[in-house]
This record gives sequence, C-alpha cells and structure tokens, in this order.
Amino acid sequence: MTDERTLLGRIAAQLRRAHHDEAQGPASRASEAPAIPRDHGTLVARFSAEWQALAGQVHVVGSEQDAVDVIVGVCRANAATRVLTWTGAAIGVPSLERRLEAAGIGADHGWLPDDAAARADRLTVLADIPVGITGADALLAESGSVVVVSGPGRSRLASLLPPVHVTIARTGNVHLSLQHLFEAQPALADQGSNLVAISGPSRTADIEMTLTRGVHGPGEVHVVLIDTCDGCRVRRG
Amino acid sequence: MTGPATFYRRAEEALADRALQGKVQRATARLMAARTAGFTALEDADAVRDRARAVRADVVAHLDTHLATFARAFRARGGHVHWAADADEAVRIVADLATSRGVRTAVKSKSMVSEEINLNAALERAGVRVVETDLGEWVVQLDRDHPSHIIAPIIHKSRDDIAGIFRREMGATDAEMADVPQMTAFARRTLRAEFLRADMGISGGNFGVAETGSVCLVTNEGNGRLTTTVPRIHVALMGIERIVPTMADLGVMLRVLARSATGQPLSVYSTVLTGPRRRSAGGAEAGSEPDGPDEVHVVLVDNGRSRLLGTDVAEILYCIRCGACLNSCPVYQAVGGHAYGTVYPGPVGSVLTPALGGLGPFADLPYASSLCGACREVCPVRIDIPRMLLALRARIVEEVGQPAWLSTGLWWYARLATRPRLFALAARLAARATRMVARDGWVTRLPGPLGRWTAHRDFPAMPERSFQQLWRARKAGGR
Repeated sequence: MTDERTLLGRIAAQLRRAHHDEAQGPASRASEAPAIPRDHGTLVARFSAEWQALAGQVHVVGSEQDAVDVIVGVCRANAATRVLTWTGAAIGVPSLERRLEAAGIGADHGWLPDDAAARADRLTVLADIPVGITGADALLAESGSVVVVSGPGRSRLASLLPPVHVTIARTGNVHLSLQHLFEAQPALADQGSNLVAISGPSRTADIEMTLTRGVHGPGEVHVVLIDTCDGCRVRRG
Repeated sequence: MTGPATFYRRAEEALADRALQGKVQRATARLMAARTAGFTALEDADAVRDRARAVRADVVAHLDTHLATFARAFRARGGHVHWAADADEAVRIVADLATSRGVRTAVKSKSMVSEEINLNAALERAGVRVVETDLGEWVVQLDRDHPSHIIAPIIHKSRDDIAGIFRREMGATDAEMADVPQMTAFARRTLRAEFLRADMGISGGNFGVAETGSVCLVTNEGNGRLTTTVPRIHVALMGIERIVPTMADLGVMLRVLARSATGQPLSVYSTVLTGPRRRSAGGAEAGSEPDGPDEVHVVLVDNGRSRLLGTDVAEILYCIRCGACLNSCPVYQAVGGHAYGTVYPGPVGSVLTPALGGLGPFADLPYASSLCGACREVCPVRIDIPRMLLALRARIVEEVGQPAWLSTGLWWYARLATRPRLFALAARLAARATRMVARDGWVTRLPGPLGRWTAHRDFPAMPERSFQQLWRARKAGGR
C-alpha cells in the first residue's frame, strides 16, 4: 500500500513544476457583502416559507407546553404509541418524556448496544417506530433547512429511520445559509460525529424525473417553531 | 474507464435511437430549467460562484498541504486514513477491510470514485455482497448496466423499463409496480431490510473538510445517511482533490452544488461526518452518542489525478461533480451518457477521462464537443472546459497524430482561406451547390460520403448573396 509520505511527496513534486495555470480564480477569498435582508424576522419567515414549499409542515407555538401538544397530535394522527426521540433535556423541553408518557406514548432514545448481533436486533425494533423527534441547532432561511448535530441524547436515527419526523425548533438561531451558519459558528459541526442540514422530506426523482417523497428517510416532516422572537412575521398556525 | 475510443460509433447508435433521445432531452431540459430557477433565486450568485472557484483553485494549488491537514484531523478524531495510488490499490484496501472484519453484506451510497475503480466487482470476488442503495444506482446494479449521468444515473430508462427490471430481478408484482410511488415504496421496503442487516456502509464523499477531518455527503433520498449511520463500519472513498480548507468554505460549495445539479438550494440531506460515534471515557450512555458507526475509514484515491497537477488541464480538478455541464451540452443532449463509454460522461468527462486514462485509448473524446461554451457558462466554479478540450486536441495531434484526410483537407483549406478572391469564388460555388440539393430551403441529405454528415443534421441552404457582398453593398450606401 502506498504510504502518506510517498503520495504527498508525489503531489508536491508535481505542484513544484507548475507553470502557473492561466485560469486562476479571483485572488480574494473574502466573503461577499451583498445587500441581502438579514433581519431576524425576515429570515424566520423565509425559512418557514421555504420549508412549506418543500412540503414540510410548520406549527408555530408560543410555549414548550404547546409544542408537546403538537407532538402528541402528530403521534395520534400516525397511531404512534412509541417515538424514537432525543432526550427532552437535549431538545430543551425537560418535561417531554413525562408528558408523552401521560399521553400513553413511550419514548425510546435509540441507544445502540456494542455487540454486533444485539445492535442488529435493536435496529429492527427501532425501525418499527412510526415517529421520530429531535431538536434543532439552527434553521437556514435560504434553503428551508433544520440543522441537527448529534451528541449524547441526540439520536442520529431519530430524524432518519421513522416515516414521520418532528423537529422542535426555537426561532433564535436562524441563518441565511450553511455558509453563514459556519462562518458564525465554525465549531458547530465538530460538536458531534454528525451534522445534517435537513431540507424537507426524503425524495427521489430517479424514475422519469417524477418527484416521489419518503424513499429512504421520512416522507412526512414537521417543524414545531417555539416563537421566541417578537415581531417575527410567521403566520401562527 | 471502459474501453477504447469508440465515441463516434456509439454516438451513431445513440442518434438512431429516437426513444433514448427523447428521454435524455426531456430530463436535461428539466434539470437545466431547474438550475436556472435555482440561480435566479440566489441574490449574490456571481459572488458565491467566484468564491467557490477561489476555494477550489486554492485547494488544487496547495493540494499536498490541505491533504496532510485533512488526514491529521481525520486521525485525531479516531478515523483511519488510507492512501491509494491507483484503482487496484483502492479496491484492495476496501476488500481487505471487509474480509478482515468478516463483512458479508455492504450497503453502498452513490460514489463516482467507486465506479471509476470498479469496486463492486472486486468486493463480489472477495465474497462480499454489495447492495447499491441510491434508487437509480440500485436499478443500474440489478440490470448490470452503467449509469448514464453523474447525478441522474437512469435517465436513459423509462418507467416501464425499470418496472420490468424489478419484476425480473426482484420478483416484484404488478401491484407493486402500479405507479412511481408504489415502485419507490417497493425500493424502500427492500433496501431497508438490507440496511438493517449490513455489516459495512460504503459511501463516496462530496467534500473533505481539512480543518476538522470531516467528510461531507449530499443526498436527496437519505440512503447516504443510512449508509453512514446504521452499519458498524463506514468507509468513505474520495478522490484526492475533493478537499476544502474550512467549514465556511464547505458552506460556500454547498450553496452552488445542489443548485447546479437540480436547482435545489440544498439537497435534502447535507451531512457532515466527523469521526466515529463519540463515547464518554467509560462508554456510559449518559455522555455518549446513542448511535453511529464505531469504526470509520477514508480511502483517498489518486488514480492519475496527481499527474494533472501543474499541467494545463489541472483546472479539471476543480470539478465538484454537479452534472450541469452534461445537461447544458448539445452533444450530451443528443447522444446521452453511454455514448461516451466512460464513467464520467459529458464535457467534464471528455477532459477528465483522457487526462486520467491517457490520450491513446480516449483520443476521440476531446472531439465530442462543438466548443460552444455552454459548459463553461453553467459550471458553478467556472471551469474553462473548451480551453482544455482544445489543449487536449493539440496534444493528440502532436502525440497520436491525425488522419491523412484531415491533414490534407486542412492544408487545402489554409490555401483557400488565405486567398480572398479564391475563397469568395469557392464560397459562391458551395452556396450554389447547397441551393441545388436543398428542398424547401433545407439541406437534409448530401450525396456520397457526405451523407454520413447529414444523416443526423439538417442545415439551411446558403443565400445567394454572401455576407461579404451584403457588407460591401451596405458600405456603398445601397442595400
């Protein structure tokens, strides 16, 4: 097998003989500063509009209590008696598990055991859960995306395995795009093994360019927006 | 890379296949319209594209430094880095990983590099069952076919073709193939079972972020996330040029990637993977991530890329594989991806394939273009593909040579074109000839060997008065 030093040495040698490519990019990598409306209310409204344009559903609520009520409603609509969920603590709604249980809904935090066979068995169980629940670390306006980062109590599969995914988000951390989010919070992605920006339901257009939802990931996606922002122009639904 | 220089023969076959042309033209037209809408919605599109180009130029100009940073960061987070000088080495690394860990089934998400190194065949030989999980790639695998587009692998197949493949290969029932949603549901059910039993997930990598050693993967279906989350082991394959320096740079690239491919501001899932599942010191549930792979590997594949550095075709390494140049290319639109006979079709492939695989076997690909420049217009990082096609053509003439009829023809043309009177006379004769063979003002069939040229082309008969004549008349004050 080729070792690192050999291959990098080969690359360096090639680069040294570089006659400068006639087609170099602009020298500056400074970020552009265009006149784009970036006030908070506009960004939240745009997120909401884009998410709905992708066939995602938005529920704007005023409190954590109301957020849990929406989740219970989604579970009832999908006949779910179990949910694959982040811990209430990780979502920032500490009463989540207790309130779900009061509604007759069991919370599974999706822990996978070390042993390979036990892991496989556990996955089969998780795959039957109809609803997944996560929090959100940021919202993106331009693409209508919720950004979630994995961590303790923050299952990656909760936003992926069940056919229905509900995100509980606060309107506080909204950015125009991933570029703007990563410029503002360069360390965010490295807080867990997995960061994902989710833009609507899973989809494919591989067969004759026909858009179909829910091919591998969730086909039905909800965002419960806990409105912590005065003057956000989001229609209360 | 498959096979010798046969673009012209394959193109002839494709041009005779009207059904294929219809499918390819409908798909590319839709993708182009979506791309235009996507960039119209991006307020600062030109600035973002400039910055995206600058990021790629920086990476390619200092590739050794960025790769070293990436590898260091990847290892620091508990991942394993493998270097593959060529395709053989790359497949051996993956096959050894699979066999040494007792892997029986591997699920795969879409990876162009894996096609380039022909990974699936090697894994099957090593006794590992491989299941493609991107819907299009799965159909290709079941049908023992090849993808015909970088991002839309089965645009050459109709819905009925695909239903037939599912019936034949998977025993699907008529009810399961009733419509596209049913067919998609069938794929979800079948592939979900494969995900749950797989021992290893194999993916490509759209980008590697040097500062954190992260691998970024972009999918719409979610198969990329399942591949990199469910199995215990994840192996990512990436070309060595796929690095971006920082997370903010990644954000810039992602703003143009999906837009260029399908018009989406972002794909449904833009995933950043940084190391294996994270555990607290004791592995206790309280401080550990609940899921994710325990073991992650990245295979950095050279396979000819480093040879391009410092040459006049190094710019092709800026490519982010969005497929926009395919959709915009009048040649691709007419013949589809299979005519190129290579893993990377279309304008980007016509540069990349001969650059990586040698001019000898792929000498006709740089000619598979009218040099109209549409590819350069739509490229999110503004790669000057026509410039490199010309550079390769020049090299082909020097190293491989050109047919005698072309040399002779060009010699005669040069004599004619440098003698204005003679040129004008020849032009008048040629124009008259086109009017003689034209029907309703169109030349649709030329006699003799010229007939091959008009078999797939029509052109208008030339008018009686040439541009030169019109120009002179206009300058003299007449009309």
